[in-house]
Amino acid sequence: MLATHKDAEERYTTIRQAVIDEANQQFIRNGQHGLKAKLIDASALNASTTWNASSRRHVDWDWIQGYNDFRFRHPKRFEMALWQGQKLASLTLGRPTYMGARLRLDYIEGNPDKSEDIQVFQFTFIAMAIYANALGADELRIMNPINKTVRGYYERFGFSYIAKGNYLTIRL
Amino acid sequence: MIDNIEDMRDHKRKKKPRTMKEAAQAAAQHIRNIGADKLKEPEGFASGGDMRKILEQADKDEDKDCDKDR
Repeated sequence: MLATHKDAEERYTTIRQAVIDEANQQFIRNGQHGLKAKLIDASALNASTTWNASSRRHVDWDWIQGYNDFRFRHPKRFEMALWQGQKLASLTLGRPTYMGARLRLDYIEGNPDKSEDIQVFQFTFIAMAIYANALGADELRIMNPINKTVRGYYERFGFSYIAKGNYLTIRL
Repeated sequence: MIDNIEDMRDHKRKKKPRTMKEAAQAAAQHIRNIGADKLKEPEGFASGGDMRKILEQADKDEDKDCDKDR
């Protein structure tokens, strides 16, 4: 790893942790005391392997390999593991665009067997909005919704779908 | 006279930076405004492309001249 890459990794990890801390404060203000956001670590990645056994799972992602690849390539990435008590509720990876004007959500997956009353995206949205603000970005993009139902869900959040590029966007 | 009218796009760009707390509260307000609690998250909720191609995709992005992603 180059020194500049290592420096960026450390600098942005500090920002990411501050964002996660603020997101947790907001969850408490919202009355969501059972939820806790964390940076992605070994325990979160190990917990994600249990999702493979779920018949409700719609993707076949290997989060251990995927996270390590993403981490290697993108020191400025957004990452979040959302926990409901001891149960992993979701994992998210994103990254700013080159000029930093936008923050992309590249991968998100909710625990396929999570309880229905936990909507992981709204908490991801809060954390990503905080990170975007910290970077000076004023737009969020969600890349590659996996189907029309998921796309429609994002549109209910106020995102607009852009067919060319297959992403959704919202100004902050 | 017309020179004194600020372009709305410039005005938006110059908006006052928010603190992290303000950004969090604005996002939470947006969620309340759209009634997110009444929405049902799709089963097997996920978004994203092929996770096996992250390294390959990053190489492609670096080849682009504009709007490169990191």
